Formats: sequence, C-alpha cells, structure tokens
Amino acid sequence: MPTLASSDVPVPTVTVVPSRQRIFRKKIKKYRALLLMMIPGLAYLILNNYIPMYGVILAFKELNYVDGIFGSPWAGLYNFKFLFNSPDAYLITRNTVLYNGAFIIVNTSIALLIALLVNEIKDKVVTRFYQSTFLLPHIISMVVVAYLVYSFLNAESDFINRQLANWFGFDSISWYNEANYWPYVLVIVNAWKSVGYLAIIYFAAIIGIDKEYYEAATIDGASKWKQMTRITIPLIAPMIIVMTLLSISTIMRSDFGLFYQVPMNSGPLMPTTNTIDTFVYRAMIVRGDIGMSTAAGVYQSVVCFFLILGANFAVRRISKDNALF
Amino acid sequence: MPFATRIHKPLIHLFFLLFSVVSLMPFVLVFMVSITDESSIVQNGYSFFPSKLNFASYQFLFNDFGQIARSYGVTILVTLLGTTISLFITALFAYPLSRKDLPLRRTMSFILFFTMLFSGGMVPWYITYVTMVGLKNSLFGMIIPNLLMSAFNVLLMRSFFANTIPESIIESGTIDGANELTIFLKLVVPLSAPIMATIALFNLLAFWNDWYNCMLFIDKPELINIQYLMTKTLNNIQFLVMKADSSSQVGELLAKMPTEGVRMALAIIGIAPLLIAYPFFQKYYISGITSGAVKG
Amino acid sequence: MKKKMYTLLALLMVVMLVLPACGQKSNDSKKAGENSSTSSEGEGVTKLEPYKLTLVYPGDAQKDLALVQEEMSKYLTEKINATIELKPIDWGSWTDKTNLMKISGESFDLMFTAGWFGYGLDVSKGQFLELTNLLKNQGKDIPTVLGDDFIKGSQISGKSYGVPTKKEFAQGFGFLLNKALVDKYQFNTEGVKTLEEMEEMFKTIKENEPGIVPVVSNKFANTWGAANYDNSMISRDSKELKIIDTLEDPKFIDFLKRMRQWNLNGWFDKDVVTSDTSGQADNMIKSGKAFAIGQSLKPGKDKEMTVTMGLPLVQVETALPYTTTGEANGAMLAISRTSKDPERAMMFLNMLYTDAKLLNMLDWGIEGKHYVKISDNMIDYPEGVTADTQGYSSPGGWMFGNQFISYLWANEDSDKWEQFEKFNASAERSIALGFTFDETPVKAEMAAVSNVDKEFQMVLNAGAIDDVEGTIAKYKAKRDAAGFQKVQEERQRQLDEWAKASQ
Repeated sequence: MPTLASSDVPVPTVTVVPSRQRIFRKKIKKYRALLLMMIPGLAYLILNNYIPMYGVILAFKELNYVDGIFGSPWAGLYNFKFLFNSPDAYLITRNTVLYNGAFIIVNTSIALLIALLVNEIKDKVVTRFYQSTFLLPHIISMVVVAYLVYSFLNAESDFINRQLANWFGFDSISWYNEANYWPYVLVIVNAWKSVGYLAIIYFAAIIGIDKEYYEAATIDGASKWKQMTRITIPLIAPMIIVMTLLSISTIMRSDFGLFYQVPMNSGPLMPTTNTIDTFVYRAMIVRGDIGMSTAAGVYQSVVCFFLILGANFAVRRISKDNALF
Repeated sequence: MPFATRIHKPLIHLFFLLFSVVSLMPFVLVFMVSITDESSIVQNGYSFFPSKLNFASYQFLFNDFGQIARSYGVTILVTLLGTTISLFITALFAYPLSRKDLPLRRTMSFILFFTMLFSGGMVPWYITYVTMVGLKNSLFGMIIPNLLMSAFNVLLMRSFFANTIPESIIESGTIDGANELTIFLKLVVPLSAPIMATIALFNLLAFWNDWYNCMLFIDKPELINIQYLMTKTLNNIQFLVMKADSSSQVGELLAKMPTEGVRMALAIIGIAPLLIAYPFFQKYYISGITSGAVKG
Repeated sequence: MKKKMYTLLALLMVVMLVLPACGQKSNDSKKAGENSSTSSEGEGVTKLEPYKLTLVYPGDAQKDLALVQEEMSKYLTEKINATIELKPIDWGSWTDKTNLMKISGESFDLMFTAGWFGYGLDVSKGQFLELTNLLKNQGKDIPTVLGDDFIKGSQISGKSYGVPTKKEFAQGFGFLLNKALVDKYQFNTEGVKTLEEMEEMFKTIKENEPGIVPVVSNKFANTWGAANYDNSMISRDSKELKIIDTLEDPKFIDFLKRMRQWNLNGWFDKDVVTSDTSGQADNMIKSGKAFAIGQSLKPGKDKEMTVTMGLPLVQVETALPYTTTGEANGAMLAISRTSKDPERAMMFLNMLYTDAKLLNMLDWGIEGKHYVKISDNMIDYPEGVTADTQGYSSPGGWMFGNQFISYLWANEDSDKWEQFEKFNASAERSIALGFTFDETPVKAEMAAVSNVDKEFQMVLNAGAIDDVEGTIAKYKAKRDAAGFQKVQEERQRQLDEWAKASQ
C-alpha cells in the first residue's frame, strides 16, 4: 500500500479536499509512536553533532585564546589559503579520492565474495573459525600494523626482499624509496584490515534472505551459480548500494594511520601517499592552528556533501527506497 | 550439478584457509615479538621463530598489575553498558526510518546523514560535553561522546529492516491492533537477529577499542580504560618521533621509551580479552542468525 | 589617616583574593586569618592567602605522584602558603589536551613550554602572561641565576613570557660512536674532527668490518645543518643579519653531495630514509651493528646514551658548540593568563631557581623513599628499588628551574654542572640570539612549504637520490610555488625590526 511522502502530495486547489497540512498532521498523529521512538536518537544527534557545529566558524577566524571562539577577529578565507595555494593541492585531493575509489571497489568485491562463499559452507564450527579470523586485522591498531609492514618491507632484515626475491628471482626493491609500489601496498593493507568488517555486514544481509526463495529455485533446478546471481545478489543489492553511498560520503577523508604511519612518513613516497589529512597534519607540525585544520575539514565536508547529493540523486532516480534520504 | 558442487567445496575451503592464514599470521607475529628476547629483536628483527624467548615485557607491564586490572574493569563495564544502550537507541531510531510511509522520513534521514558529513570539530564538541553535560572524569565520558549512536550503524540497520522485514508482517500486526512498539519488539526484533548481532558486535568493538574519549575526558588514573593505558605509549613514541629534530632532549626521551617487545605486549594486552570473549559472543551471534533465518 | 588607608587597601586585597577562591574549600578563609597573624617576615608575604598552584607539564603520571604532591604542598605551605597540584599530561595527548585547556579558559597557573613546543604560537595567541614586572618583584632571583643571555634569548620582541630552565646553553655537534670499535681501531676522538677525518674512520670500518654499517640514519645532516646555520636561516660564519636560503649556499650543496657520496660508498644503512622514524637506527646502534649515528652533543652525552642504549658509546665533535634562540627557549615555564594568582606562581618559580629542596622534590621525589643521598649533591636508588620499580621516575630535570642545583645520580660525573658551566661559557653565540620568528603573517605559506620540505629533505639528507643538483632545483621550484619567497621576505623584515629594537 504505497503512501506518498508528504512533499510529493500534489496540492489541490479545491478547498473541500483536506489540505496538505491536515494530511500531514493526521499522519503525524497516526505515526506518533514511531516518531516518539526516535526522540532519544534525535536528542543525541543534537547534543553530539548539531550544537557543536558552531565550531565551523573557527575556519573563518584568527583564533586567540583571550577573545575566545566568538570574540576572535574574522580572517575571511585566509585559513583555506594553505590548502589551495599549495603546489600539492591537486595531488592530495586526487590521491584521497582515487584511493577511496579503489578501496570501495576492491573491498566491496572481496567482502562480497567472502560473504557469498561463507554462506556456502554449512559446517558451523568452520564458519565460526573463518569469521573470527577475518575480523582479527580490524582490531590491531594501525601503529602496530605499521611496524608489521615495516618488518616485512624494510631493506635491512626484510622478508619480502630476502626470501621472496630469492624464490622468484626478482631484484630486491627499496620499498620505502619507490613511490610507485605504494598504491598497491596501501590498497592491500587496507583491504586486509577492513574486508572482514564489511564481509560481516554482507553476510548478515545474506542470512536475512528468506530461505523460501532458494527452496523454490532448487525445485526449479537452478544451479548454485544461478541462485547466487539471480537471488542473492539482487536481494542484497540495496545493502551494497547503501554501503557504497556511505563510502562516498567519506571519499575526501583518509585514515591517518594508513597514510602516515604505514609509509613511515617517508619523503620520497609522498607523491603517492600524501592525502588531505596527512598534508594538514604535516602542515600543523610547524604551527598547530585550529583555524586551518577546521578549514581543511570544511573543505572535505563541502566536497563530500555535493558528491553525495549527486550520488543520492542518481540512486533515487533508479530506486527511491535505496537512497539515503 | 552435484559434481560441480563437489569441486567447489575444496576450492572454497582453500580460499578461506589462505585468507585465515593471512589474517592470523600478523597477529601471531605480534604475539611472538612480545615474548622474544629484546636482544634477539634488535639483532634479527621480528621473527615467528625467535632464537630466544623472554617474558620480560609482560613482567615489566604487570609490575603495575593493580592499574591494569582496574582498567580492564573500566573497559568491561563501559563496553557492556555502552553496547546495550547504543544498540537500543540505534534500533529505535533506525526502525521508524525504515517505514516507507513515515512522515518526515526524508528529513530525519537527512538530519542523521548530515552528521556524517559535517562536524564542528573537536573543540566545540569537547566544550559542549564538559560544560553542558559535565562529563569530565565520568564513566559516561567514555560512553556518550561520539560512540553512543553512529549514523553509519543506523543507516545499516535501516536498510536491513527495509529490505528484509516483509511489510505483510507489520500490516498483520496493525490489523491485530498491536501498537507500534509491540510490533517492533514482538515481530520485528526477532526477525532482525542477524543485524542486531552485527551492530552489537560493531558497538562492542568500538567501545572496547576506544581510547580517544578516555584521553580527552579522563584525568583520574582510576578511570583510565585498558585501551588508553596501552595505546598512550605508542602515541607518546609517535609524537616524540615527530618532534625528534627539534630538541636534543626529545632524543633522550625516545631512547628511554619501552622496547619493541613491550610495545607489542601492549597491543596484546589491549585486545587479548576481546579474543577470549569473542568465541562466546559469536556463539550467540551465530545462533541469533539461524533463529532469524528459520523464522524468515 | 594613613592607617585607615592601609586597612581599606588590605580589605580590598582580601576581597579580591577571596572572590575567585570562593569555589574552593570553605575553611580556607579561616586558615588564612590564622596564617597572616603568625607569619611576619618580609614585605608582601604577610598577607598571603592559601592558594593552590597548578603545574602542567608533559610526562607520565607516576604511581607516587600524589605523595610527592603532598610533600611539596607541605613545604610550600610553610614557605609561601600555597599547595600544588602536579598535572602531567602524556606527550602523545599534549597537543589535544592543552589546546582544549587554553581555548576553554581552564584555570591553571604554570605550564611547560619551549620554542619547539609552541611557545611562540601561544604567546601570539595571548595564552601566557608577560613577566617583566613579576620578574622584578616576586621573581627577582631568577635573572641573577640565569644571566642576561638566557633571559634575552628567550624573549619575544623584548618581552619575557616564560622563564627558561637553566641547563646547557649551547649545542655541540657530532657523532656517537661504538666504543668497542673506536678502541679496536684506536680512533682519536679528542678535539673537533673535520668531516675528512670522520670519513677516514668510516672507510676503515667499511673495509674491515663487513657486517657493520659505518653510519646509521640520516640524522647527521640535521646536526651538521644546526652547526652551520642558525635555524636554517642565518649562516654561522656571517657577521651580517641576513636571511639566506640554505639551498643556495654552495657549502650546503657541497655537503649534500658529500652525503650522496657517503651513500654511494655504502656507508649508510639501506633504510637510511626511514630508519629514524621506525626506530631501526637505534636498534642497530644497540646491537652493535652500526658504528656511528649523528647526534647533537653536550658534556656527558655519551655517558647518558651509554646507559639508555645499553652499550658503551663515545662522542666525537665535528663543530664547536653554538648557541641560538632554540637553546635559550629550549625548555621554559610560563604563567597562564588564567592563573588566579600570577604573583604566587612567580614566587613558586623563583623557588625553583633558588630552593634546592623544592626543586629536587619535583625532580626526584621524596628523599628516603625515591632516592637516598650518597653525598652532598649525589643520590642513588634506595635499597631494593630499581629504575623499573621506582614509584616516581623523574619527569625530567631539564624541564624545571635551575638544573644546576638538581642532584646528580651515582652514575653521573660529580662535576657535571662545572662541565656545563664551562661548556656554556665556551659556546659561540649566534648574532641572532633572541630572535624568534612569528609565523602568523605567513602561516599559509609556511604550512605548504613544510610539506614540500618533508618530501625532499630526507632523501637529500640521506643521499638517497642520484641527481643532487637536479633534485635541489626541483625542490626549490616547488617550494617557491608554495610561497617560500614570501616567507623569506617576512623573515628578513622581522629580523631587521628585531635588530633595530634590540640595539
């Protein structure tokens, strides 16, 4: 029984028909229990997110402690200048977006594959074992990961260079000097760390699928492959869309640990490892300036905002229910 | 078809075994380094098969056992409390959003989603919590700020509700005259075990791993959680490395920092209980999923 | 008449002091009344209300912090009717936590700061009080203890906003060497060595010790830079206050080419670009796998590092000691704008420079519990206590007051402070000593430039790239695009202004 969202109701000019407002009020009354359920969450959002949003003005202020946040003099757009005037402005934006794009594609594919395959295993004990191991990388801190990666890749005592180079007969590589390899290294490290997390989400979605679909399909003689492509994937598609949209909303942000600590802050790697967040961090070593870091955050938010508006609009065109808002 | 499946099975297992090894190996390595003799680390780097074992790192850390035990207590309490409240609030917010005919649905979704994009930054956020709510040095300082309800989890749950709970079930409830809360608790929740368990797990991990709130809001040693107790050493090292060029004193401080074995032991102590508790949790998690699946 | 005026004034004082302290314990005022009648020495001391000082500094919270705090409070109550709260903040969370304290206007009295730790920034944002008057009154012993150079060096535009720790007032430059190898090949480490002399040593090591890396880490380039330039801005040889660009200085370019040669000779470790960040450099020194590491020096540095590294090291100098602003403001204590009683804070500071008992309590804890005296100014751990089990390991004597009245540990030279005096006196003063660059007007350019520096500096320092001149050209072009020239102009402008003002 499709009911139109309030904004979509055509407004009739005839007065006899209940006005848009009245329909709305009636609906509110009908759904008041549901709306009441949302109050704790809404209150939390206001406290945790909306009240502190006044801090955005820091991006436009030259803060001094005596006058405080509101009293400090305005600085116009000066705090944004370091981002756009830098010769790296394009590079860091490109790196951030491309890495996130690669993460979305690679992580989603691997996670989906895992979720689909785990679903095929009927042995509970084994499933449980696999699932717990996949989640392990997620709980190791990035700093520790950085040490581990270093122990594999450094030239002095390394595993890859000494062992694998011997086995496969390639020359040893000076990993922390060669920017070209790092897109691969970082994508692999990131996938290793976050695929388990994603897979669990997709697995939960697959488990939620009504078993009757499969029973019917088996009776029809559909192969496992067909069941996967015709039933499972279409039914979890909404989940995939939502996850992708959510990833797009953070496409201008980057995990500081991954891009700063894992490459060991090595200068020669910066062309392929410098992202907006690491750029800001390095800039702030010289001068910890809240105005400038807030400005960078605003820049990231604004770009993400327009990207997500676009993506959400596109999704809405195809399937209204799967859009984020 | 049966033949094809027979071939598939070993392949699938092989794939997963490989994947498990890749996931597990670094973890084992961290553990091995934490029990390797320091001279051996310095000589040979990290190794799965250290030439000399030594539990000195743990002895060094457990010197202050009282603090570690207390911090574990704080973490467990915060995690249990936080996970429960968080799951509750998240579900209550997500479920109405999944109802297609809810008035203000799009507005609410947007209000929620907008918080993922824009933030006022750490400073006003901190000031709000400290001055308006008074969370400084309170256990709730490690529960409420940023952790209590993640927009990401809400949207995840909303999608699950929207796509998995058949509308017919809700309609049948309405026809029976049940109110919305009853429908939610009696009909929807039991069908949503997979997502509930997943979100609970995510919350659990988030609360267990969080050290940032503890760093900001807690000054009293008796309220420090295990993750901050363990992470701060790594943070200190990272900060000092960054400042190393600027003062000769920093070099001395760095040289005095705990050894690599201790750093790895810190990582192990931070997550070990989680690993021990995980299988128990998972039992519940899997059974939750199957019961949900059966009913579906 | 006069008497009336005095009582009125006293009353006003009391009101002013009590008002902000209202939030504290209610019996405070009673105690104060008692106190003012009993103590009657010197000028303002008679009317002191009880006050709690808060001292914020970076470091770990120690197990016995509360005990030390209590002991210090007891002593301070006797002396200046104050108690103290020690507030150590972890290094890793220092930036976040102190920023929040400053912005939210949290009240505290004293804070550790340093040129490399945000001193200039905090002063430009108005966090620290100007100390000129306080130093004349409550802190009048401090300038005497520190001497003119120290005070002037730490000033910003002729005004003091923090008082520096009296410690080494210069930096020495050179290497730490593995002592076993020095002895084996009978290298001479006396006096100042030229780079050619050092190269002889590295060559010997390379030829005779196949398993050993002659020089680990790229730190030496920084050491060399600090020895030849004041803050990479003014040449040490120059008599003229002129900002230069090191990348255009032939001496510097030659040095970078030399580093390239060292790298080609195989004298560096293979990970020379990252071995500092990863801690691998230290490990190689510890395990005796490397012979030398660049290091800024002071008397007894090798002894200190021998203890921390766990194997015998000797230091060798490659340049004479040099004093720049960075040494003068290398460690300071400042009074916060949010202090409710800056006078009392200054009294406390004054004691840190004159009162050995108080300073040593802060530095080493409680006598008999955390240390025992073995002679007049030497201390050691009490029976059964080791470095690992002690309840109060020092936050670092270099952070507070007059280090020269701080006790020495049994494993240190008993004449350490005499050596320091000699070292300080012998050092060459930079002509720009006391100049602090205010980055505010060019902060956008500085931020972009610092990213460019990070990209190129380490590779060049490590000699890890073939074409030195080509890389320098690329470096310069990119830095210019980031606005480097504007930064240089601003530096010169401020330097000229400073020179004019300080004449």
